[in-house]
Amino acid sequence: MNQADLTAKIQNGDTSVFPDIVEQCQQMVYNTALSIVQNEADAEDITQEVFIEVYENLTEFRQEAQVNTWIYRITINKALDFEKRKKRQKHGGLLKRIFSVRAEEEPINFNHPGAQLDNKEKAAVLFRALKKLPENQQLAFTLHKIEGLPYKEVAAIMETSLYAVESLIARGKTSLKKILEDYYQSSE
Amino acid sequence: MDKNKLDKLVEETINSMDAADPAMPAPFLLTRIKARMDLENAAGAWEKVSAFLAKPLVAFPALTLVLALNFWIIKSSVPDNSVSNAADYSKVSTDDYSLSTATSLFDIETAQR
Repeated sequence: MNQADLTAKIQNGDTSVFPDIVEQCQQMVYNTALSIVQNEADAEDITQEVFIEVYENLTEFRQEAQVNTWIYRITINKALDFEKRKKRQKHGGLLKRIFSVRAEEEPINFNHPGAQLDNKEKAAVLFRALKKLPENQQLAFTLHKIEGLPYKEVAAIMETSLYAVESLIARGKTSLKKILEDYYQSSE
Repeated sequence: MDKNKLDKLVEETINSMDAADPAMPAPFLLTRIKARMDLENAAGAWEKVSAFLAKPLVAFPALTLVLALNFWIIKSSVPDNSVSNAADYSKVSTDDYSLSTATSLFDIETAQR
């Protein structure tokens, strides 16, 4: 079933398309969540939450956006909320801060399961550097460079202009280069 | 590390996910989603009940009713001291002199004659 058929069925209030939506979009949702939260179990959890929200709001979906774009937005919101919650938990609590081990503050290396074997180490460095970018630059870079979406679709998902996306990605790349240069120079 | 080598390494790192395969979630995702939805619906029913009970419009009258019932039960189970003591004393004196029995026997005997 293609995007147009899915959209049409959803608009007719046909919730029986839900298994088709899960089948078609699970890879997209899981990969996007995985690139943002950088943890397989958390990405799996977010994927389930995304589809539950999709099911609950299926009848309210209007064709203001493509089904994919709508699901991407839900995924990104869920993944970013998850990250914020995690950061709050990490920094919250005076006692926790006093007794926490300093080493925990360093992000753990994430090995993307899809990365090519000879690129695994570099991909881990890339994901670690991505975490240091501002949220919107990280998002734009992830959607374009890792998910392989065109600028136009990234703009639709992020509800911004094409120019803004281009600018975000360019600034993201510049910042990434700086972070990576510092990393490789310090690890010599 | 010389500049060219560093630039090459940085560029390779930025492009390291270009040829990556997409990751796949664990199998039977739909089944797990349905199970989670069922679980959340079951928990949701209890949440609805507790949310209804927690409404001030429901909680305060319910609390008042419970307190009033308690007060009424306690009040009705405690005996009234002044009335019951007087009744007890009259019973004791009646029993001591066997007044009620004597009177009734006298009446019976008198009636037989």
